[in-house]
Amino acid sequence: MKRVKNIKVLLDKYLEGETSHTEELELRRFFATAKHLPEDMAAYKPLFAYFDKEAMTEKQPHSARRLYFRYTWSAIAASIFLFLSIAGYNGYSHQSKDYVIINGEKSTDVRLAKEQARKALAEVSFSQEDIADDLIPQDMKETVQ
Amino acid sequence: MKQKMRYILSTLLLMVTISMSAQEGLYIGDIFEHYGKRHGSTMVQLSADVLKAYDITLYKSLSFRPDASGPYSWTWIIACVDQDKHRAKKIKESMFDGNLKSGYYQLPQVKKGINRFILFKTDDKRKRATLIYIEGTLNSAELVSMLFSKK
Repeated sequence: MKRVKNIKVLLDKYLEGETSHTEELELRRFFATAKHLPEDMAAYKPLFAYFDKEAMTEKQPHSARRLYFRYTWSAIAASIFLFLSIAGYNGYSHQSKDYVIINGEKSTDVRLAKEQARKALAEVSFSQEDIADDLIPQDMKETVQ
Repeated sequence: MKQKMRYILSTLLLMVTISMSAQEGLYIGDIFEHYGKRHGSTMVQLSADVLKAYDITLYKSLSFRPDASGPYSWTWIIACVDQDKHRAKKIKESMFDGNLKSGYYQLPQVKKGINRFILFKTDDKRKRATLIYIEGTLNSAELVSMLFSKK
C-alpha cells in the first residue's frame, strides 16, 4: 500500500516533468509488473507499457545477422545496378556498330563506311603479280585461279 | 563487410573489362585503339547487318600513317602483328629487305563456324599501312575471291 502511495507521488512528479531517470525507471518497472492497480492508476499502465516498448527498441542494437543481411542486400542491389548500367551502355554502344572515323571524326553514314572499307580492301588486295610471286596461300590460290 | 562489398564490385568490374576486351583479344586491337582516332587515319567498323551478303559478321579496317619513331612506331606495330601471327593457323607473308611487306593470317576460331582473318599491308612509298580484321562464316577461299575482285 505504501508502494502504491509512493508511485502516486512519482506519477504526479512524472506528469509535472520533474522525475529523474531512476524514478522513471521505477515507474516503468512498477506498471510493467503490477497486476492489480487502483482504477485511477490503471489508465497509466498502457502508457508506460508503450514507453517501455519504445525504450527497448531504441536500446536494442542492430544484431550482426541483421547487419549482415542489410549489407549483403545492399551489395547485391549495387551489383545489379552496375550490371544493368553496363548492359545498358553496351546496348547503346551497339546501336552505332557501323561507323567510319576519318581524321578523328566519327560518322555513322553506312554508305561512307562501306566506301572506305572497299578502299582498305583494295589496298590489301592481290594482283596477278602477287599470285605469280606465290604470295597467296596455296588453298586460297586454288580458288582464284 | 566492406571488404566483401569491395570484392564483389572488383570482381564485377573485372568481368566487365574481360568481356569488353574479349571482343577481339588480339594485339592488333591495340593498333586500332591507338591509331584509329588519329589525324591521318581512317578506321571502319561494319557489322553483320551491313555485310550479310558477304558472310562477314565483323569487319574492321584501319588505314594509317605509323609514327616514324617513338613507342608506337613501326617496330611496335610489327610486334603486335607478330604476336597475333603466332596464334594463326594459316600464315602467308611477303618480305622485302627483311621487312614485312604484307601478311595474311587466318586465326583459330573462337566461336564455332566463325573464321577470323588479319590482313596487313605496308606502303613504303606513302609510308602508310593498312590493317584489316575480318570475322565471319566465309572461308579463306571466299576471302581471296573477294580481295582479288577488288584490285
